[in-house]
Amino acid sequence: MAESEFDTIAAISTAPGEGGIGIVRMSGARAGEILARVFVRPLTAVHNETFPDRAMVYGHVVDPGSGEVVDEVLAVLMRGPGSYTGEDVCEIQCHGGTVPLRRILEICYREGAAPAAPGEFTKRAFLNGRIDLVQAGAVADLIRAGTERSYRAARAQAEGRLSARIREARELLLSALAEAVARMDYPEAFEDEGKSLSFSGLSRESRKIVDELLASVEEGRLVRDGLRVCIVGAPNVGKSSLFNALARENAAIVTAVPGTTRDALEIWLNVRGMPVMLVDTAGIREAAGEIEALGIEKSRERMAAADVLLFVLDGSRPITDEDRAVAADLDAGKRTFLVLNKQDLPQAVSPEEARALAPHAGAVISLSAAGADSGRQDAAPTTTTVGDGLARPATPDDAAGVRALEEALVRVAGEGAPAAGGGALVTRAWQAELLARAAAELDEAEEIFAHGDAPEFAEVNLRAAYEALGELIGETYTDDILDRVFSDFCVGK
Amino acid sequence: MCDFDVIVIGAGHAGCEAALAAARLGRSVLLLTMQLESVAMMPCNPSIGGTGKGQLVKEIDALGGEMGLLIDRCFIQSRMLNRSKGPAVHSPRAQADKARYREEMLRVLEGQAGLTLRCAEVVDLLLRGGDETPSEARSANAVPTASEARSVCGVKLAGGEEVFAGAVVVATGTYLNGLVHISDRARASGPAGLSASVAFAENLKRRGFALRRFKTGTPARVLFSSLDTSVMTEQRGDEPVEPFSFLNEGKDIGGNRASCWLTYTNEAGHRIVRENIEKTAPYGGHTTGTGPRYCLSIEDKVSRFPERGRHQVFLEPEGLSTEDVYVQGMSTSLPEEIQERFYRSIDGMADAKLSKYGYSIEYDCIDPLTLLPSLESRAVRGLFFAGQVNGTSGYEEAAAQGLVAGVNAARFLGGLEPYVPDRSEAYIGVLIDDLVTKGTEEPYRIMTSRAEFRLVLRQDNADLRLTAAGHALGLASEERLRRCEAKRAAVAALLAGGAEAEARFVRLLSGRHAACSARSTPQAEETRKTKGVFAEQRLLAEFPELGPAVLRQVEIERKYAGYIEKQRRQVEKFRKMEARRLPEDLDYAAMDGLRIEARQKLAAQRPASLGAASRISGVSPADISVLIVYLAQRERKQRSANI
Repeated sequence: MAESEFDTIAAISTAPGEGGIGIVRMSGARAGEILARVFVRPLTAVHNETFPDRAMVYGHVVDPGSGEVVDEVLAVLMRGPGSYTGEDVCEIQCHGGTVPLRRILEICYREGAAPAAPGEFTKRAFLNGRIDLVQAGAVADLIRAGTERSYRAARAQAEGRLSARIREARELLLSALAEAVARMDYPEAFEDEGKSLSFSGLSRESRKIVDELLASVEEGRLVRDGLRVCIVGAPNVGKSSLFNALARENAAIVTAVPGTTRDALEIWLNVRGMPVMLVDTAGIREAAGEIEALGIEKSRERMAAADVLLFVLDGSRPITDEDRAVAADLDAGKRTFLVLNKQDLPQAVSPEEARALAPHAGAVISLSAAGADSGRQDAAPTTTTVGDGLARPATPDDAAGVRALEEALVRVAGEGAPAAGGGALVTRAWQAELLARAAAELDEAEEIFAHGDAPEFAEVNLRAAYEALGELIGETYTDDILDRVFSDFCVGK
Repeated sequence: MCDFDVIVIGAGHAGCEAALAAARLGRSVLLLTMQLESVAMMPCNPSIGGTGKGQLVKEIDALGGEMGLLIDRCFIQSRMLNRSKGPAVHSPRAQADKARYREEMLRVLEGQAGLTLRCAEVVDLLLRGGDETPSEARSANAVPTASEARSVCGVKLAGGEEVFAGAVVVATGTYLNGLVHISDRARASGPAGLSASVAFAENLKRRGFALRRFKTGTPARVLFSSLDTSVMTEQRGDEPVEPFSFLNEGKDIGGNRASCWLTYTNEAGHRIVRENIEKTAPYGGHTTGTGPRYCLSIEDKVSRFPERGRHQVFLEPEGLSTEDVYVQGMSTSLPEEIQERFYRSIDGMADAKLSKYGYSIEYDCIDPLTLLPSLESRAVRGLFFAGQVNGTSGYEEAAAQGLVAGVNAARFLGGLEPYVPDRSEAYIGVLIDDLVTKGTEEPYRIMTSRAEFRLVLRQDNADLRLTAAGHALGLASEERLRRCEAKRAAVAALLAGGAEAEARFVRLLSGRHAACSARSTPQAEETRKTKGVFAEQRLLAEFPELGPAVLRQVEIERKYAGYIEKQRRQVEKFRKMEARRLPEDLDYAAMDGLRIEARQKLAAQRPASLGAASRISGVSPADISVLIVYLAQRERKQRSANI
């Protein structure tokens, strides 16, 4: 949460899970500066000072850390005091769906924005005299309601594994802090003054838990936001059949639309309650045709953005050079399933041969996706409609095979399988942000321990980490450190 | 018609600093004590400073107070605690010659123009305005409206004499209704057998001041000649001695003149304590006061940490002209004969002769939440409270409050805004803010861990932080200011000039005699006027002894630059919240958005700023948001009303 009313805050301001466009909004003195750092405009340099006021500007959000293009966006900067909140406000309109939104928000946090508290934009608008409420109480109620919502959320989580793990980490930190404080303020009570300190060990233990929880951030995001699944493979292996088979089995949440960049087909599916964004790259290489290189590039971008790849092979024909070319393009770090399609035909590829092509793949799923496959749809993805408009296959899908694939996807999202963090999941960006803050503080503490010359500096970091974790579970009371000092250590004159 | 501008009740560490500060600000001051023995007395440990406390003393000194200068004259051993740790927790502590400290303070008081020291017992306050008739129903905690606000106009002495003054500082220490316990016997008494102040306590209560009971304890004293130090570990002081006062920085103030000794208790002794623990007042259920958790009696240590086979015992001499040795860590209220058995069970103390017995003492104090940050009472204008009567513990905490109360009593009379350092400026600010916004449920002791900005609130830079403020108040002398500003400029010049400038400075330092002789030349004068550029030369020309202190500042600022920078950013944030003042007349009870607990706490304490409100226990971040909204709403209403 924002540490004070003076931070620049950021949040996603569109409702979650919907398609179309999404908006990340920032407000505060640094909004323009942060925008200038993450926004790249074709052919024109972007500066906070020269950014046009109240005009939509086309460009891309680029991760300043990695240089990676996150999304193509429209950005608008509305300088205060005439803006909604009265402060400098910027809005970044990106593609709908949670992945780009979340990435952009994370980048804004990293560049210095703080997560907005519930109702905070409204609060600032009021404070700066931008909205006129007849009763002051209305905004107060708004804030109160927001707080109570988060309180209820915190309480609900307290019953879960996340809170339990965070409490464990805090407990370790509390012991570490108590020792640090006792050593600082009662040096004579420690007969080993100057010798090695056990609080560094305790701090490392708690860092392990924070790391575990941070590792679960991705899993948690999958649970809440759903999976981005990308179908890849050589032409005519049955990618579109698989796409259609999965779409038929699962009610589409959003009607499929031509890919937002007009070269891939996307559809939101509801796979056993889990949102899945299915992307068929079928059209990319084939449709790009005349500009083959561009097609490959687009295909790679799609793969990079996906959580899971479905690498489709035609089981009825021997592995081709094209298959090998696709395999060579796969990111070995990405979760990948091999789909051996066309099981209804005599098989020419064994699962072992398939696996040899992509050794990092998690499972080989054999199925036969029925339907008028190949060229026609692959070649014209932009005209395809799904949902009610789906072409019915002449033969039924291989239900068992599709189900096996769905189960594999659900497992990936952490349902039913032990996830990182001992089953605890971090599902929200602000939770991840607080964990990252705690981790950064503990890193700094670790560095100080390594130097070993000023443990009281580390105490500052330990306390900050302790408070960040406390904020995660709604506990920020800090007098407990002194209580612990006096109960654990025999200090005094 | 007033007899004095300011009356200070009590001449302990708080009262002395208060009286000196007010007198130095040009006020006529009457300092009252019940007995001369009480003046600047150290009834417990014979030391000044320690963790957090050492920082307080350096700050008192930087502001122009007395404690640092006095201990530099009266120490018999000096150490820098936490030397193995980083500079933020380096804490100076000195063993004091108790008798000399008292004598030196008497000499300073007697030499202070405008200050009158008098032995007399105060039995009541003289108040005027408002509803002067005492009433049980009236609470000192309640905020009076302007029409009924009372103000103080003097004190009444035992025997009926009335002395009038425009401001009064109450610094009664542990004397108010003091009750000393040894074993299950209790008798009315101040510390060290001096008489308690009973009538004054009763009259304060009658006038509506809510009093509560705190307690503390002290160990026995043993004669040095009865100790076998051959089985103990000698604890020597640091050489060279680092002075407390910035006026003595770099000067030779003499060496260590005594050692302390470390020995241990053992199981046999613990058994004696356990078998007799019911005979003490706290464990026999007699004391009513709340004691500090950081000052455990041997009874507490043995019963709460039964797994410990031994506890450390520090033997600290109380002066050069006495054989009394303070048995640090062993405070007790066991019966006298059990005390003797127990102390004689300690290693090396088999023949110990006890010159004074340990005891615990309970006393009346006020709730500091009833005070403004200036230490003025919320209920009575011109009435200030300082020291142990505010629920603190320790000579240094008392002296710090005394200084602030004395300054603010003088400023009150001059119609000036009070001086209140904040948490980011001084440990004194931490101490006062903790007291008046959080309150305390046990005798309050300062600690480095209470200061969230301790990386910038160091003992080594207290002068750089506070001298200018002290000078602006009229307390810190011209010389202090010149030394401090020269040091600041030199540090800045070296930091800006990098390693090269530092090397040049070290060369200058080694040839500082030459610099000294150049002191009065016109060139040196010219250099002095050229601000910043020749800061190092200027410093060495004027204050050659400050060289090492400058190098230390530079070293710390360089070595810990990242941490210090981070903390300075936190300080900026903090100050913004402090700058948001909360109007005196806010009606918290009517703010529906606030939770009930927050409404009650805010209404009772009336914090001065949004920052202070956020530190009140029971006020949540959401409550602060609501408060911000109300403030904005209110401001807008006022604006539109003005149009």
